[in-house]
Amino acid sequence: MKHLLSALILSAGLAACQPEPQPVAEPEIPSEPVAEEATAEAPATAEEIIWAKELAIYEARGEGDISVYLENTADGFSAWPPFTDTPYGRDVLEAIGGGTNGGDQEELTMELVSFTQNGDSAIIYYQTHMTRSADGTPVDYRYEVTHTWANVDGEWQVLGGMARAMPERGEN
Amino acid sequence: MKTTFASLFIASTMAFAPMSFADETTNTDLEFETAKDIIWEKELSIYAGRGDGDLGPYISNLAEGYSAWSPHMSTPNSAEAMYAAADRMTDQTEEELAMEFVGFTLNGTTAIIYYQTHMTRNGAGEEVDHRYEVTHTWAYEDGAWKVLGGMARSRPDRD
Repeated sequence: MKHLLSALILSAGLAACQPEPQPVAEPEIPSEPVAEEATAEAPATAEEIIWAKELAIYEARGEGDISVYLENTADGFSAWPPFTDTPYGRDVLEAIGGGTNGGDQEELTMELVSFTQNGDSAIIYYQTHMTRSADGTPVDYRYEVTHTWANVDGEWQVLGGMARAMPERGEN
Repeated sequence: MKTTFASLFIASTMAFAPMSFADETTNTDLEFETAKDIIWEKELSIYAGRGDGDLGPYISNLAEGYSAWSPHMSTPNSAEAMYAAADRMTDQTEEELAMEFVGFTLNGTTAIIYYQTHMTRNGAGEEVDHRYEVTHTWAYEDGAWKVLGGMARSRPDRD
């Protein structure tokens, strides 16, 4: 598996839909100063967490491992890929290996397009470019994807989404 | 505007059962069937308004942070783009469009609805035959379901 994951943030898309700033919990202040621990990193944003999860899901899927996707699904998961007439749930997702049907040869790049959040709801938009399918066939498939994530008990989980073949467009 | 609304419940998609609602069990808006009915009614009203050249019902249902990705745009649109479109659409009053409910799911204060549309006349009055598949994500904001975003695609050929 030669999975290339790249995060190209399209500034036009992000500028168009910046979410309202989310409240950040007050940091816990220790009662005694701790000299060597002044380097606490800022908490990862929901966008960073969710994009990292998307990358991990595709990385594993490319190796024929759908477990990462499954373990990140929320109760009620229901997604509608282009090749089915209706959305499907976890059971079908597992049965078809997230569309790979068990293959592990997929080569695919990902580009983050946009992200928005409202409370415990978030939507991520990204593009994928598959150059080799799971069974090893060279392909040139470009998709646009949205996933909706829900914050369930403090953890972001994917509730559903849709994908489409990238439409041919003129300037817009 | 002669918009026909048909609600086709596809049995296979209704297998997604209602979820746990944590602390929100007393709010019926967050119950599966109630949320589904509220949101589908809002979708119908949004399209009914649009068919009359009025994006007001859509705009009044936008959540903070709204961002949706229509098929003809290379990036998602914001609420500001919706406001601009509203000014351009007031004379687009001839749309004829049928809607079919496909699926719904809910987890806490996040909901997703899936449906199909079939446009047979566009807003300018031209006969068309456009079929789309749509998803909208709804967030429960300040006591009301509001649309946070979504995606639409031309209905793919499937054989």
